[in-house]
Amino acid sequence: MTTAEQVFFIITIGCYVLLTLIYLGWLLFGRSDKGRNIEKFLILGGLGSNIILIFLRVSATGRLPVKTIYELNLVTAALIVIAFLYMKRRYPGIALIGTICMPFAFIALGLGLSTANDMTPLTPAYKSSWLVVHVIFALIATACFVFATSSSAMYLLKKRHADNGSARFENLPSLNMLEELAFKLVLVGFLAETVMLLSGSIWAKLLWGSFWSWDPVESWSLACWIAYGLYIHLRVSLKWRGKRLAWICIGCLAVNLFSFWFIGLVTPKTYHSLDQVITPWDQQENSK
Amino acid sequence: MAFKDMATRNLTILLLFLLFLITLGVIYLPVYFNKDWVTSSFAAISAVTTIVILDCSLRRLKRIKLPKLVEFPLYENSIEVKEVDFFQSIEAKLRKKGFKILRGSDNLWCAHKNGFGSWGSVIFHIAIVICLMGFSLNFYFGFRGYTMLYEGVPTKYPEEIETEVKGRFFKFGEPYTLSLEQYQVEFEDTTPTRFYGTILFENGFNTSVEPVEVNKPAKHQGVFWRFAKWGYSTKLQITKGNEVIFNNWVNIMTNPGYSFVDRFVLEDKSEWEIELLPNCRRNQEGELYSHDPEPLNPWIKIVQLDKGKEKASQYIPLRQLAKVSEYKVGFSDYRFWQLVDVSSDPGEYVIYIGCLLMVIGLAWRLLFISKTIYFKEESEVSLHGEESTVLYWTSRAAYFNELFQEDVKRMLKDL
Repeated sequence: MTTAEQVFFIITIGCYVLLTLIYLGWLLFGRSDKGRNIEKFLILGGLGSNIILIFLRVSATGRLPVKTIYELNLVTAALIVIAFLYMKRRYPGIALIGTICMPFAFIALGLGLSTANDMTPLTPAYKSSWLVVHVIFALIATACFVFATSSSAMYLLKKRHADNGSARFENLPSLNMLEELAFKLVLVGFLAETVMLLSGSIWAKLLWGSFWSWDPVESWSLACWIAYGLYIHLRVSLKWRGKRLAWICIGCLAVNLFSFWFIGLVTPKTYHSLDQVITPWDQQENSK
Repeated sequence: MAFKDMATRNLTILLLFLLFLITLGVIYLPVYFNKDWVTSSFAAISAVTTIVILDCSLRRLKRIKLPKLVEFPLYENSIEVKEVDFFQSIEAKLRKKGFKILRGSDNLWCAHKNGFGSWGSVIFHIAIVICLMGFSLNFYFGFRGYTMLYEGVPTKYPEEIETEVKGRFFKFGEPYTLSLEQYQVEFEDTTPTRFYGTILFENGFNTSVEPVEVNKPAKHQGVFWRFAKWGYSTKLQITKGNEVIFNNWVNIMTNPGYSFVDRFVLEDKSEWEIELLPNCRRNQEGELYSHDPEPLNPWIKIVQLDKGKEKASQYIPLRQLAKVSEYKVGFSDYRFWQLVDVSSDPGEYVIYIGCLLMVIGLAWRLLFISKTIYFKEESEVSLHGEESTVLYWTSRAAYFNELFQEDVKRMLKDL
């Protein structure tokens, strides 16, 4: 990590932490007009700094930031904030969803920093046009799912108090709106996840000769896709609404984050690292 | 009908849940569990699920009708009409946004768009069926195998191909030979970044040359040849007394962390372990090591084994000889080997079409959400006797009523 990267990393994290505190304050004590300019400054400053951080990484490594968890999380954090910013611009009353979106962004950055962030060049397996499609859509999907889950969590918070007859958290958007926001972002995320899975399997065919090899990372991603498919069918076909659907949305994000952040830790024997040292052939040999 | 619908929907959820469990089950099943069986079950359940959903979607499509221009039970919003051309402005704006205006009797009218949005779901589920058909074609008419290629050494197709999976109706075509030519490995900061070369195909009458690289397989007569795995071969000469007992290439396995270690047994039943140190260096304790895969200073560590345990060992630099117990070992050369994945997939393009349709179907479903706004114009007289016109409206959108209502409010406010 270069000195410039360190500086912008601290600025980005700082902005996201301060934004979280502002949103938390608004959630607990009501929204103040005074803080709006600060919010605007922090959100644009944080996102700008995050984007500069990505460019610095690209210029330092001479390649796209797609190899290490640190690089992936830099892009994920930026996409989470972009998704939040876009939805906030479209529906101005939803700023408080940032109480959960923003912590996700800085946790992603922190988690990325805690992992190895070496600047090794891309191995031959990475040199494919499908790489950008596969990775970008995976990260877009995660960003959308994070927003959807934030919306669902806010739904649960508001619903809990509304059921008890409390008027607390009245400054949150209406329950129906929170639920629809979650569903809308799940649909966008599901489309992105589909593109990610399809581009990944086409790439796997070119690289390893098989569309599907039941690698743990592949399987967890497919499980995540099916879980969100279930969520969509429960809402569309069985007309599920309310708390149980919100909990399912949170559960689906857990599956998604597990397949993205933690699967490499619990299942090191994956050829998904693309260093071409462990391939499907090794897995087949081991399973015999 | 309603009961049948409900049963189909419950079945869909059940099947999807089953697919979810199978997917997670595959990861944690014991290694001896046959994954082909899992794949077949997964494909079969996916096919049933998709057909059930497709049936459900088609029945839902049948029920879709254009909005009726009767008075809506509840108009949730209203706006006072101040300007004379207000209605024309709304109509123009709605038409610009792609809405069709339906006029009913007297004061009722509505704007509607994307009535065909539900077709996206149908396209998506048909696409899954197409993909599964592509996989079936590969399963019955395709094959998959592998072979080792060494630079300049001819390999016979199909004799020297190790078949991994062969479809029931697959037949190998005319035999030919192939050889890997102009093979190159590029390194960047000692990391291998590119493997490439050409494959020369010959059948006695014709020759053709196809470039091959990781991610860019060579194709010849419907068969794909792709680089799957790489490693080093070392040329060894082993003598015992005056007798040469081995003079050949030894292929060394590539292990995680770029460690190149393998074992082999000679004709005299002696067991050996060989490790290639591509960029051999000496640490402060004087021990030899190599962390880089680039062959800048290749050495080998040769170990004679006795029942799996080390009996004698020696480090040998390139083009040198060394004594190991009663043997003399010479390390004269090294080269790369490539494990090549060979496959014929007649369903490949069917799968690609299916994938494309899946994305189109989902994007369609997402972009073309069915939306309707119901309007009712009414004249009202205030307490002061002033006459005014009020436009009552309510909006409906598939899945997103509340969000669409926000959009309409903003649109009317902007007018």
